[in-house]
Amino acid sequence: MARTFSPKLAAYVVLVAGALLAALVLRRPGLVGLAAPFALWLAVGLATAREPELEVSAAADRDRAVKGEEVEVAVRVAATTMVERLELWVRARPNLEPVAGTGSRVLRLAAGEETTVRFRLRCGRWGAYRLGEVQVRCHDRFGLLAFDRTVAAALPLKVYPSPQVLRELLRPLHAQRLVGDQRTRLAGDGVEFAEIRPLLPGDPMRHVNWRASARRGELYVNRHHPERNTDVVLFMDTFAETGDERGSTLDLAVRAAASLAGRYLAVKDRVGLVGFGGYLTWLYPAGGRAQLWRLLDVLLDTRVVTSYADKTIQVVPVRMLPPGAIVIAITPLLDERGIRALLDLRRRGFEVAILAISPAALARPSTGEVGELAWRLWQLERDALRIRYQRLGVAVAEWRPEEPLEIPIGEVRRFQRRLRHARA
Amino acid sequence: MLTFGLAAYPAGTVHGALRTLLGLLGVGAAGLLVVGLLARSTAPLPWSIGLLGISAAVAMLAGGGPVERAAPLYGPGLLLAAELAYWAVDRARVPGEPVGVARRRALLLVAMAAATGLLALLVTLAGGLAGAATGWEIRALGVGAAVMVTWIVAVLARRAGGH
Repeated sequence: MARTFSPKLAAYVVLVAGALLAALVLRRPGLVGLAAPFALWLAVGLATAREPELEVSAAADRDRAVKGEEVEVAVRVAATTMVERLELWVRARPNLEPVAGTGSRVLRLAAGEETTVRFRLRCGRWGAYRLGEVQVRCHDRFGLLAFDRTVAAALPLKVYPSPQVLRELLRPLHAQRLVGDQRTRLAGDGVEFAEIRPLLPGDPMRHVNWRASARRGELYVNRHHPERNTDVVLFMDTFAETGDERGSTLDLAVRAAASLAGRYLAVKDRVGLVGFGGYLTWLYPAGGRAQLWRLLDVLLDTRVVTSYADKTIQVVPVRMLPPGAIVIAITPLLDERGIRALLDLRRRGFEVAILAISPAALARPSTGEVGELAWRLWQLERDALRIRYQRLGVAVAEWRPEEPLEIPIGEVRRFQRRLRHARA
Repeated sequence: MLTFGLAAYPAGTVHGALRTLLGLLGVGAAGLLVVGLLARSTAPLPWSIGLLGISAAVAMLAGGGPVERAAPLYGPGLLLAAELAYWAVDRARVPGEPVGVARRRALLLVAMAAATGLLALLVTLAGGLAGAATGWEIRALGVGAAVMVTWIVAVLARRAGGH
């Protein structure tokens, strides 16, 4: 343990030395009487101070949590020698703050005594962390010496974004051929009834609707909506972000992506992820619970990296964008490269829906007439961009931080419905 | 409270401009102590104790007898004030000190204050005031010596029993 002298030691030494010197010079024994208590304190304190022998270890109760939850760190301390005053605290990290009243502890340990101290940390933001170091400081009985040790906990912790509740999901105009949980608009084999029609050669006899056949005098069969699944590609624009102390557009984007991924994977759809920005990241579409954890792990590493490279959609691997997939873009629509990539995707025939994270809710306009004018101009530009997308058949819904995710999802579904009717 | 008393005592033993000077020193010492406690910092505390010591030293030089004779009480009082101030800052910086730890620290303070008071008395008397020692000083020295011897015997007995 690293030994340090407390500030009190230096202060007492100076006081004693000064008083003794003054007593000698001024020939006042009373000054020695003033210094004697401090001298005795120093003498006894330094003579009896010993470096304590401790074993300290830390463990967390879990390695995964959701934003807003608390994680418990248990610190076990075993003392071989007596420790008069032991101070323990967990160094706070940004977004991993100790819960009020649990950040530090003071103990006294007898020789051979062992104890476990528990600290609770609140996860303030999603991300991958190493749980904070545990600082140990032992004081001698007289408070003259301190013995410090830092225990590097190195406990990995993944904090996932808290999911939003989603009752409805976006569906492509045409479902895939693979079997899933989603009812398609086609008629065929399935559970949910679609229509009846006259029997055709090749129809199985078990589908015959005998009651309708008896009424009409010829054989009619039941048709059902087949269950198919969807390939979903979550396209995250990570070129730029904006925000304030309430959060950033990237925080909201990650939360939306995690919520959508969880919901789609729960209904047996396949979900992939593209992080299109300074760093290009991707995860091929797949289904199942393991894919959810892979997606969440990739999302935890998502960050905005400034880049001036002119990237196009061609840098994304072809397998990342299966034919017939619906591309759900989660973007603040701040960077031209992201905007062009989505237009390019649409022109290549992909079905694209945009969840535009509203930067207006997280940014503040400059004060003054010019600032307000610039703000209005910027908002008009965003409106024009939205109209441009909609003319190409791309649904754009703006998501404000205070709204549930279901609201923009519903807006996109309504646009898709209008588009379907218009095409019909 | 102790600091205020230690600040006021030297000023009370002198007169005139010196009283004003010692009063200001005392106020400065008390103010620095309050600043240290409020800011949870130990930086002002040595200066506070130093000013009190200087105040006592000046009073000794100017007034002589009363402060010098009270040195066996003033010195431990100064130590007690310093330790209590540091303890208050420690508790403010790292809250949640268990009752057992606080009790032991308080007992140690009291014991050391008493012990250092006796030592200071001994030193002061040996330093040339022996002829002026009054009955209470001799009795205090005697009682203190008896207590100290008893304590030493008890500690030795406990260690012997432990082995």
